[in-house]
Amino acid sequence: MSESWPALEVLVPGLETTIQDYPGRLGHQSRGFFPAGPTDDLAFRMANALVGNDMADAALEITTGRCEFRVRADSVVAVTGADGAGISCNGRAVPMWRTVAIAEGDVLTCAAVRGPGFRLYLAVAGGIDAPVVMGSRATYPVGGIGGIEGRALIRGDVLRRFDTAPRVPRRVPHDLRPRLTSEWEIEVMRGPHADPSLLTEADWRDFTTRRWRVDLSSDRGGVRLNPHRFTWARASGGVAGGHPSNILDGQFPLGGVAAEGDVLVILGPDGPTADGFCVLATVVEAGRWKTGQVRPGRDAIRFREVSLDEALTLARRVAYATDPAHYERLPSHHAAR
Amino acid sequence: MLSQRALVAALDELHEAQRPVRSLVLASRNITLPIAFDDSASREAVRRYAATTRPDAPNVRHGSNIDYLVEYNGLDDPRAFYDVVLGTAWWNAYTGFFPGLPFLYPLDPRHAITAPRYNPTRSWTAAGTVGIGGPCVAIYPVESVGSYQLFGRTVPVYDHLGRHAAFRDDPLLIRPGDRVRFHEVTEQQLLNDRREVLENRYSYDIRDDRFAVAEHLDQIAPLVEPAQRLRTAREQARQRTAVP
Repeated sequence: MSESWPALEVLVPGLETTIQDYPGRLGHQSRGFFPAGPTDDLAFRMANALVGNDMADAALEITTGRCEFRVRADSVVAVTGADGAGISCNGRAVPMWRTVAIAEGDVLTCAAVRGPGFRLYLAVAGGIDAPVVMGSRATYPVGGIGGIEGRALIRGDVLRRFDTAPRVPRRVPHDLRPRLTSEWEIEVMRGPHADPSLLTEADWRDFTTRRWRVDLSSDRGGVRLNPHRFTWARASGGVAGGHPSNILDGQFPLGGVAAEGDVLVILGPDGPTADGFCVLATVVEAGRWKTGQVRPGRDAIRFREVSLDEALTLARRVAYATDPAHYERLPSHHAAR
Repeated sequence: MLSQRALVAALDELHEAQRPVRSLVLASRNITLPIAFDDSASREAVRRYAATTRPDAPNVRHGSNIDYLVEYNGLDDPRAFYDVVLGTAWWNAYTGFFPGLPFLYPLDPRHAITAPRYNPTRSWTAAGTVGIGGPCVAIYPVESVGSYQLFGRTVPVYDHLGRHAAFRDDPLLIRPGDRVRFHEVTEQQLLNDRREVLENRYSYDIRDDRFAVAEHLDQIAPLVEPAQRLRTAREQARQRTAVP
């Protein structure tokens, strides 16, 4: 492992700023660990790509902005994610979606995110150093592990970064940037628990045509939608529980849309790995980033059913958009350090 | 990347390779844990739920879920419910939800009780709380959301910091295939036990053992009929009770 040293000191931590890596802590679901990792894995990977990092390097997820850092070592960074963010360095505006050089003594500030979009990603060339716990640096507050002491950042935390060679400054072309909105269309595949013995065809049509409001209680564990009573194909869940959404407890997929009684929940990276609720649909991998950018209490979602082929096509598009080979190269004085 | 077809084929192969369930002999420890019924931490979770999420929930009565559980299972009183919980070993079928949560099923079929889940779910549950959803009893290992009806609290079953020696090799106390028995203590005693765990002074009662499925099935064979009668009575009670 290469050397690391202090790069950013937290002056204002923001609502929930965490160290994450992608794809997080995989392989422990049978012990009750969901992977953690970024909720918007697309913007996260683009930030890492812009500073020449490996996709697996740790970077920051910043929820709603409102944070400030003192730069402790000359560094190369990139900020991606929500619109209307207001990033500045010593009071001068800093562009997003491109490589930026910052110098020791600078103060880097993220104003409140106005949106559309909800979260920002800040990658530092070299990657953030944090202990690797069970194969990942991703912060997982529920289990108290990852990042710094398993928690969101607080004032006074010092983020270390690994040593790194000079980076080629780049910018993400406008056409490759994610389209943020407040009226989201999220791609899903049906199931695993939406067969006709559980959910009626009319319910499924209802699910895929209705406009779902994102509830204020949404977080990294799950995006909660407004209550709605489906018809259901059966009156009760029997011994699994009286509500027709209740089934014998079983494993959940990341991005599953679980019917927790009369409330739909899109399972997030800090969510439960298992429970006794029907999972009506699963957000396809290439659509999952949107669940990190919906604004609780304001945005709305429509679900669009896609085939496996279309899901794979979307995944190829995401792979293309996270490959820095497709980004614009900037003159080297944009990130000389 | 594995194709969908190759994944399904691999799963089929794995499934085919499984031995008949009756022939299995598994490593299975006997773990005895203290439980304080109707304790203040589970009541606090219920109180917050009623105050912030659903004031008119039919599963909340007198600040707890216990009277609802009693009625839903056609039992006489809370004491009868506690005796059902205490009178059987609970089999950890698998671990999930959050780190180290055991999904426990009763090995004595006469102790098969059920409960519907919260609707909507609860936003806060204290670590160590014990609840039931469907036919599963669970111990909440960490502070978390939840949907099970709560009825008591036990000692820690997860500690990533390894403050107690029982967690030094593995932050999860209960493994799939382990059997859990509860013994009743007062809340004062439980809080004392929980503190002793943090100070590494508590003595977890864990005994290595094996579990032969065929032996178990033979043992419970005479209980199947009485269990069926109880199940019918409980089903009738269930149908009379409002669901959240």
